[in-house]
Amino acid sequence: MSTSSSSTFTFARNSPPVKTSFTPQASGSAQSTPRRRTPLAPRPSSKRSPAVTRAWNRKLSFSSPDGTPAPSGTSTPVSPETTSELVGPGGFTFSPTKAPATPATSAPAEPRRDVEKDVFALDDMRMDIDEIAGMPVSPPPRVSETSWPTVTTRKMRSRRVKTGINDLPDELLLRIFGFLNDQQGFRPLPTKYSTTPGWYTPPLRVALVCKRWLPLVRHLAYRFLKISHLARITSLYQSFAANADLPASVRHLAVDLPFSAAEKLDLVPSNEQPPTSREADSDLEPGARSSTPFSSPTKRSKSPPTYADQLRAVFQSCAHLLSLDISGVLPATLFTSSSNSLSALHHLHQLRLSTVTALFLHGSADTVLSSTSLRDALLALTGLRRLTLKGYVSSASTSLDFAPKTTPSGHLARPLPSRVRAHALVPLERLTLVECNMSPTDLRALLEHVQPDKLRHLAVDDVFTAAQARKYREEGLWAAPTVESLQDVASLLKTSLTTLRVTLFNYPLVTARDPTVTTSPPLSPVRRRNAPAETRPKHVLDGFIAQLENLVVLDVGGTVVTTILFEPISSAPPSTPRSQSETRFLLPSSVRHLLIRSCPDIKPSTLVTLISSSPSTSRLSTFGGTEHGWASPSACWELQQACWKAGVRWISGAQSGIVVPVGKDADASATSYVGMNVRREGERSGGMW
Amino acid sequence: MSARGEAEQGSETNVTLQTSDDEQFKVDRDVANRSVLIRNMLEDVGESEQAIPLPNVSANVLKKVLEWCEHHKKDPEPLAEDLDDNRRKTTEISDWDAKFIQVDQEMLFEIILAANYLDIKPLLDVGCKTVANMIKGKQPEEIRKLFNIVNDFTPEEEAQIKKENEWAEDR
Repeated sequence: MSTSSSSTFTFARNSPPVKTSFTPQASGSAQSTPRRRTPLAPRPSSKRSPAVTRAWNRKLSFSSPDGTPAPSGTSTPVSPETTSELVGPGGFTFSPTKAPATPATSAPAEPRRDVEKDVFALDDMRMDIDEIAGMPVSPPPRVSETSWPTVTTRKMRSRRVKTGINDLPDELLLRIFGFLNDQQGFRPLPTKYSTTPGWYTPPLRVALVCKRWLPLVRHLAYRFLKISHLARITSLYQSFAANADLPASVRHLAVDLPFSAAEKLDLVPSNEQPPTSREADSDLEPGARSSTPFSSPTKRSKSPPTYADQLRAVFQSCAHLLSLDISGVLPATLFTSSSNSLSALHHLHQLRLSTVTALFLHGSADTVLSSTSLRDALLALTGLRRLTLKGYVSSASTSLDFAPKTTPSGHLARPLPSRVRAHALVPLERLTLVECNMSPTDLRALLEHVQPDKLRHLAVDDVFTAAQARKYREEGLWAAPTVESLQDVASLLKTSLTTLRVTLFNYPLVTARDPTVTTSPPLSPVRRRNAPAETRPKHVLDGFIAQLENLVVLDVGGTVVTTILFEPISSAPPSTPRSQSETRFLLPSSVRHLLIRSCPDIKPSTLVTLISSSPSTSRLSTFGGTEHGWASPSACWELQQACWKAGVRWISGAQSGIVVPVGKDADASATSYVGMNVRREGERSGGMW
Repeated sequence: MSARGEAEQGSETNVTLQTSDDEQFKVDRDVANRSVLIRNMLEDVGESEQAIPLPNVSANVLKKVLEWCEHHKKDPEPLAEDLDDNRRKTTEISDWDAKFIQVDQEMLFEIILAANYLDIKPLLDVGCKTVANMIKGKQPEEIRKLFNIVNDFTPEEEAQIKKENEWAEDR
């Protein structure tokens, strides 16, 4: 072909399957033509299946300027000066695919050319409209006598061309690639990790099939990256350095390094030079101060990048990151400044990674999360909407402070500008604390760093084990579970919280009731809520829950509530006849969905009055508690009848209901539980109520 | 019931579909309703004797699609979330679907396009899973050969891409 590839227009989707007899140039250009993405939804008017459209387009071929016919399926723009006779108004020359070799084939082609000279493409449009409307075009007696081709004419042509895989639009190819998974190390199985997106990624070798597939496969393969060992840091770093477009596809990044690997982050990869020593005034962890190799090649030549440098470069190049999962690495390693001229805190504010909306920050068995890690993460990620902390221990470090006056090394910290401080609050909507020992001071500092009335979902899951408690005691890190801190922050949560999940297992059972509460039936709910919390164990959250004004979903497990929460309180004065008095409960009247998981103090009979009298509750879920009567038909019968009468849907499960949050969502109503044999609605005897 | 009444009831439960090559298919409404596109059209238009034009589907493809719809007409309508989760979890296909989809490549892709156009997600997934299973475990050259795709990478480009993908090779 005489024209250059840049000026050649091709119809890749409409070209026939490429055969070896074709010229390589034509075939190659056909494959490389960029395609406009089309919506997955049906497009009855605009999209035509290849069976229909291809034949029509294939009929069109464009002559080269010297008059020789171009290969089938290609079109070439021709200047009007060179071939004025053949050029149409659009700058293209249309001619039949095959040269008129015989009079029989040339007869239908000539009138077609005449029509195109007169009115460019209007006939095509009319035919398209007719076809879309499904109205058959009236076939003329003979094709040669008219310029209106018929549907039948095109139908005959369409049967010549086969539909191939590259006739599928990009959306369908992406759907196909979405089913591919080689389960390599960097691709975790869906739902294996709580923050892992639930889809597969195709093997990258599929990208090598053709140019059209390359961006599609990359789009899927780079969406989720997991860095689980040091060698991957270097290889990713080199890949991103070689192709700066790759990081743009990364949406979810998980850094999950083992303790042994995290210790080596300060080292230079084996093929590099040893690093220079750290600066003396650094207030950051080792390896978190060097320059970013991507942005400073001159410094790279002086100081070879360490693993930490490379990891930071990889992270900071992911401009469209949505979620971040950090384990085994101090957050400062990722968020620190690439320039030594800025202090760490100032840089965190300057960084302002607003694209990251979800953060999973967890300590490992060997390391606990400190307040510095949490502070760094929250200062850097200004658009955070979901935060999950696991293994945070307040006593492991100084209290959480988002504007410290001194650095951890004791140096005086420069104060942040007031403009920065004013906009530092994060719009956090979901907070999940798993196996944390967060003190009331730290929890208050964290919640005060959240924009007011934003936090709607709170989950606190504490599964206390004797081994863990012993370990913390030995290390001097003993602290009460986070559940005990909740009562101190009720004022910050009472208007915003709509979903609360609290779990505390293996903690002392509540054996004695608070006499001030149980012996004063006429006490109004308000007074009861304001009853001194010190008189009850701090992990009993009856009073805290009662203050939540807009709570819709309450999910409790273990020893966090007592029967007081569900027992009726008469708010009317004693002189009022009992029939006229309104039954009230300590449980907020806004609660619609109540989940009870293995609460030793809560028995089926406890809830009968609540279900019968509370008009708001519409769903009840009970899991576990076999030893407390939840598996006994006779014990459940009364509650079952109450549900029937009240129209409450009751879902029950047999297993213990010990929480291990495996779902991506911290919403209690959508949470799934590991090892729980949850029966489907309606499967329980009596069905759905 | 009179013969006329029966005929009227029959016309109410039947839907006429017209393909791109002007063939008409009279199918049960339950069968046609497997297609979200047709169901929406029927809801919009209401009761009508007119044939529903399907200009993007040829007769032989529609025949296959209707065969699938007929077999699955009593399947419960899956929730959008369930459908998505199931789609992600497995590439397994039921025995009947696997046998149904044993067609040549051209028909397979035509069925996929038709399922996409008619908005029949389960059938679309059957087709896509079949293609994915064909690709699985194959090297690029084998995939090209299978689908008659020309390698349009230069050796330099191929080497560059391989180098960029090296990070994924370490386990």
